[in-house]
Amino acid sequence: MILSVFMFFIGIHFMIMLLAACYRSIDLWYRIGDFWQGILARIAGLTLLNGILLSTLSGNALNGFAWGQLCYLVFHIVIFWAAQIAISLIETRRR
Amino acid sequence: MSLIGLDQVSQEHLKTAGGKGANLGELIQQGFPVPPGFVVCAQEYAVFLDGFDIPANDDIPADTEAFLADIRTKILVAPLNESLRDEIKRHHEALTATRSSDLVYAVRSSATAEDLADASFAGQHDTYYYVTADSIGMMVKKCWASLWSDAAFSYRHTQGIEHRTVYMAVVVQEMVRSDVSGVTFTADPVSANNSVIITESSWGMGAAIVDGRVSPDQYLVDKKTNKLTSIKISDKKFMVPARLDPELETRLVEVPANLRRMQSLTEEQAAEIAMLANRAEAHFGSPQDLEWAIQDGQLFLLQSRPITIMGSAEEDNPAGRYILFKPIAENFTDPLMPLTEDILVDLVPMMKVIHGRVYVNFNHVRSLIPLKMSDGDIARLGYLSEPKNQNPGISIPRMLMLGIALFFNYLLMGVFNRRAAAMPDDFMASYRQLFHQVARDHSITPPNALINLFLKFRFFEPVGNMVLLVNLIAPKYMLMLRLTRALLLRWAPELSDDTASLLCSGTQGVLSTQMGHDILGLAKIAKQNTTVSELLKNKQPKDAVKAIRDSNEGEDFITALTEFLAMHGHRALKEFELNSVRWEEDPSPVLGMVRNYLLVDTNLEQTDSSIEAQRESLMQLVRDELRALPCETLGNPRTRLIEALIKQTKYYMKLRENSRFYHIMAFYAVRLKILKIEQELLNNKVMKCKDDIFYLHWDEIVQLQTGESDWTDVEDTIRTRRMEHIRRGKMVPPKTIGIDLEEIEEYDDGYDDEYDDEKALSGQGASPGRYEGIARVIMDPATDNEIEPGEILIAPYTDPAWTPLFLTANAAVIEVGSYLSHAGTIAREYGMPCVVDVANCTSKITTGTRISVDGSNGKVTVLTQQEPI
Repeated sequence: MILSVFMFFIGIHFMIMLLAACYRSIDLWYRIGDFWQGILARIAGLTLLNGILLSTLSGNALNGFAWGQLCYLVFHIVIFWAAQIAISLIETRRR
Repeated sequence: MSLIGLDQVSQEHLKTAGGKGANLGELIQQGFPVPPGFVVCAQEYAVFLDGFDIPANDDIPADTEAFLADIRTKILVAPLNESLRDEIKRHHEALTATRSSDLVYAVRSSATAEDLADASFAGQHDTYYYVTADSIGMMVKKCWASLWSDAAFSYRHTQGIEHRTVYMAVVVQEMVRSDVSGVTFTADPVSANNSVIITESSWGMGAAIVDGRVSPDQYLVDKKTNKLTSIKISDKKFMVPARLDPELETRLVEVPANLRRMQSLTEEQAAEIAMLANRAEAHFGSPQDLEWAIQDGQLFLLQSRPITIMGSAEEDNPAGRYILFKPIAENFTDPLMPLTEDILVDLVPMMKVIHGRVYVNFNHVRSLIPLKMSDGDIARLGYLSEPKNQNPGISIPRMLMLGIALFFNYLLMGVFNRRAAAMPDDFMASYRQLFHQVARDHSITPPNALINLFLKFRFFEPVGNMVLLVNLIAPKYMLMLRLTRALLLRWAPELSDDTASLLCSGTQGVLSTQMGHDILGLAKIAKQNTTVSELLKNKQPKDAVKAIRDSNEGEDFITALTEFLAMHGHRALKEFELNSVRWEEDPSPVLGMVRNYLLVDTNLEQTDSSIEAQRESLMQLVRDELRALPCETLGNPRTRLIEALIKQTKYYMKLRENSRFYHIMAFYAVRLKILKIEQELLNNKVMKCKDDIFYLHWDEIVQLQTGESDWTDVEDTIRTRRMEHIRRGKMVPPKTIGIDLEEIEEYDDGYDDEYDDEKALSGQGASPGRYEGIARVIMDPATDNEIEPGEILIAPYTDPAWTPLFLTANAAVIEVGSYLSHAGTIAREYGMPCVVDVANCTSKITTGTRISVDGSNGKVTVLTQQEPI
């Protein structure tokens, strides 16, 4: 149980790092010529590490890690849209 | 008796001539210089209203608005009786017999309950200027009608005055075509200090000051000695001229550039006015509020009435508990304009604007502090002073709450935190395009422009467009700085306490620091061309730019200025305020600073390189100290850790300053939209004066745009809010609301009891180092920006518009601020000592005083006090 919870949080952290690495291509698009190698290396490195963990972990540890990643991905998308809806409501009220 | 000459009136005629008429008559009787005129007695009003059937207070209909509108209409429509018209004509002819042919009148309301000590009715009844003989009758009726305005009715209602018992006399007086005018108080209306006489003056007619449309010059005179003790010159943008231009729709015109920052009264005139004011107070037996005017060098008194003391307590505080949080409060040193307040109000969840000031919800703060602290101690922390209990215990439930809040913040901001880490210096430059896009899109309303630029993010938006969020994560540098300081204290205790602060300053790429250097660059370009340099030194900024353009010699300078404004033109003094004019609109403050550099001949860049060398040698000292520690030879782990922490601290400090540089653009985008709407409303004659729009709320502006309301519907609102804004600006905001505790004691007088030396002032050290030199008090860099190299800047607060002054000064003492404030950040960047949060330093220290500044211990010592003017 403790291992599952621990790996769940590790999964969250991994997903945060992976998402941030992917976003980096957008954030640095204006200078992509200078930074593309670093961006690709970071995404590839994190994906590889993620793959290694997913393939080597098993049982509760694997479940915890995978659920952590999945939950965070869903949370990130949901919270983003929820914020958009809330902001649109404020915008409509203030129009 | 329907009319009576002013020179026949005295205090005994209060019921006949009203408060204003009786006071003016009394002044004439006592030999004060008052313009001649006559009074249409209150009895005439009573006769005129006979038959209107005004009900008693209890019988007034619920729909008071309609009731009042009906009375006003009846008054304006009904004709004056013939005998009154004849009397007016007779008095006019008597006056013109001895005066010039272009005599015009001021027609002024003088209610029988007006200008009394307990009810001033200031500004509620109408006054008309430039009235010709033909229209005196109509203006008298308008004055009568103003007794039934919504504001006057409401004021009488709250004062418990029976409406039917108040009558209106009207003073018809020769209008003084004033070159300078103003108001004088024989006691400070805010603090009730009656040892001082305060005179406020500006160009043209007094309406501009009385209506609060201009920031007047201020003269303080010691009541006992009648000596001038202080002069504050303001940027007087507008005036009501003595003669109206028939071509113009509005009475308010711009003050000519050469007069804007010129002293409007000579010191002799200020002393003469103070002497008259003293006499008026002695005669009436209570502190007086006088209006006066000067025409062709001759002084006239226009009014004298008892002062209504404003006091310092706000009586209508909202329910709940709120505190002023210093890092926020220092950005809002003046109360917010009503429109700014209205547009900001929804966007800041933990904050509340109360009486124009930004407060933080105390209950939210309390729930996030996991310590067993009293309400008072938390309030003190909010104001960044030491709590009484230095060792509070930990509260387990609150610790859990904080843990949950931090975890949720990690989930919410985790991706964003990592995205903003280790980005190139220019990653937020894309925000400028977003700013232009939103500013130009007319389908986006001003309130929504702020939402678009602050909160509305799309999935594939670069992090550089989310500058407000960048600003929110940047304060993590404080944790890193604390950690660096703690580690250095542990590993290198021989080094001074300031080492961490010194090493973490001097960041390259901070845009507000760069702005100072850019202004210096402009000065260098100007210096290369004698014509440009001389024009900037000798002409007013706007005229100088025009003359440089015309001269065909200053192309380089104009190009550099244009580039500077393209980069920094969105900045301004008090830039969170929508009402603040941006440098792009009026570059005068920038040109003033360029002029300052031209006047002081010094090599300012030498200072920069020497500060950098000092930092490098200090870092070397740290390396040497750490090298002696165990295991340090194995890859220098401690040195690497310290260097990494310093690098991160500098990075996040830079993020904080640069994100502010960009998110301020959002306020400018809103301002541009507001100005566009204002222009449309002015063109359509729905509004009459520039800047009035900032006293309205957004829904009221929309109603004006759509035609649901017009000028008459908002005129009273604007006037009331303007007067309220002035009143709020003069009040000291309470540091806490709804929390029963004594005010934070150490801010009482500024002098510190902790030090034996009674000339020591205490504050908070914001940038380490010690310096001794001559003080220069600057209250407003837009109007006063001359500072000699080596002087010590003494200021009430600072924001980025003050940055160039830090390049010339060698130390700074600031009245409001904290370690994290702009002053502290910039002083550390420039490597100069700075003490912030020094209460009343701008009044305790005068220009020319020799002082020493100890930025490490937060102490300022007055060595030799310069005598006041």
